[in-house]
Amino acid sequence: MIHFSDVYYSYSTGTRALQGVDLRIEDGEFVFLVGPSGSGKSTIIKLMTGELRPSSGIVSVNGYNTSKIKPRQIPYLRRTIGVVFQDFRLIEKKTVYENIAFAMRVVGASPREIRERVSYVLELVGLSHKARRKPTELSGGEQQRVVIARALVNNPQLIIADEPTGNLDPDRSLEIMMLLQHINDLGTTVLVVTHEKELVNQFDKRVVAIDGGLVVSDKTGGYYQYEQTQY
Amino acid sequence: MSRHNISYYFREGFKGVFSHGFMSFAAVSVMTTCLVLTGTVVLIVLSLNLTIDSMTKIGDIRAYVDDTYTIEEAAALENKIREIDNVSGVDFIDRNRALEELAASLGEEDAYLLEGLEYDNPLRDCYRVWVKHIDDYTDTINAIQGVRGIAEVDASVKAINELRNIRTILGGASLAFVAMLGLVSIFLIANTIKLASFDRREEIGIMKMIGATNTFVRMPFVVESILLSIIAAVLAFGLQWLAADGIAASGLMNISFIELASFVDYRMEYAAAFLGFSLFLGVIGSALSIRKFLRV
Repeated sequence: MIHFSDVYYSYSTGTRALQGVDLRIEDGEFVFLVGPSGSGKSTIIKLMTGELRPSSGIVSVNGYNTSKIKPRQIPYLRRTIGVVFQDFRLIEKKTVYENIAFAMRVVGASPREIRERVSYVLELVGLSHKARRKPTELSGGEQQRVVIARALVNNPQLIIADEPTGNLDPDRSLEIMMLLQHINDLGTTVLVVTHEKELVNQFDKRVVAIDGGLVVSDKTGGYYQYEQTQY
Repeated sequence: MSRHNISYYFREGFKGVFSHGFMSFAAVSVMTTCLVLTGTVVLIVLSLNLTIDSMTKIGDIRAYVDDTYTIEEAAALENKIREIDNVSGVDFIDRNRALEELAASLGEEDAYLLEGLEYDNPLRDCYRVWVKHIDDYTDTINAIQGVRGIAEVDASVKAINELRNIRTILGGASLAFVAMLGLVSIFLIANTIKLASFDRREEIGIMKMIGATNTFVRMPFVVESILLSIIAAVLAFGLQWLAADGIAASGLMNISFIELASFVDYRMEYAAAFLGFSLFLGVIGSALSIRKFLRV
């Protein structure tokens, strides 16, 4: 579960990124976080992953209070979250299999556990046949599926996808969103950060809109709801 | 720390040594040089200590008894000299024994020089004295001088003091040497690891984002620097041994008053010190260099 309570965040430059955000996402939900560039979406993600601490307010993610979290606990918070990046962030010199297995090695999994789980997630994302390929040999959509597999492999409670379709064409974008929805159907909470309203509108999901560091809309039924709120 | 992780640390550490070829070579070279130079200075200091010790063992302090004392009276002074702090041994040589020893040292060829002296022996009764600690040498001489009945004390005070000064200077210089070369080694190791971590900064960022602990990220680099340190220690040990053997075999150091410390006698201490010192440098170097990349 994610809980933001009256959260403020200012960068050292003085920029006020968040100005009293209240947000609650229950386990098993699928939520779009939308908003224009500079609205505070990335700050919200960084607060969730422990990269930043709020200037004031409470941020609670999967049982960890990131406002007060000790540095040595941050890795354990991150193990409950799978992050999907727009720019993939795959290790180029490792194969697809090794990239995913690496995420399990980091948490001290045994070789047997790694073999079994990596095979499962590769099948889930439809890339079993490309396990021995290097990321550079794959298309953008395939690379993003590898990233999703890596995010999933440690069985996290929450997947945060930060502009997961930003580098993909519409068809591949839809494929990725369908995959994320499938993952959500299996019980994992999914938070997709995006500003692609066409894509958001294809899914009848909860949409949280943020602008100027504030939650300006929180409704189910697509991006248009946010625009209606604005005008 | 899981055992699966330990094998990962070692695998990555080994890979790192070879993949950072030139920097690894530079770090090992400098650390080896540092250890060999330090080891050589320490060997010189040890040799000086042995030389000074040997001078005290020779019993070079001679305390001559007043001419007016009879042999029995002179012999009675022994206990007073023994009671002086720092005196480890005393040997009384009466004038007759002194003459016998002189005759023995001259040999049959020159024995005629002493003819007739057994009836009018000009030599004095004396004590040969050994000390426990060379640092209190001068005080001990003064104390012997202060014993009533001792007319004169003959000792190599000047030579001993000069050797002690050289030892002090060399000891200080070797410490400064070790400190300077140690800093250079730390800098080079840190640089090697810094380059390695810069090379892998994206990978480190990914590792941190997927929940790697700082230990997990740091350990391959620590293993890499430990391996570099061990290589340097082994090379330095071998080179030091070869150099010491070479010098001993050349006969260059066969100087009568110099007692040369043998590397072989101290090999275990050298092995432990080289390994310990290089590991210390390696761990400090790697710890200093990777901190920046862990802040994700």
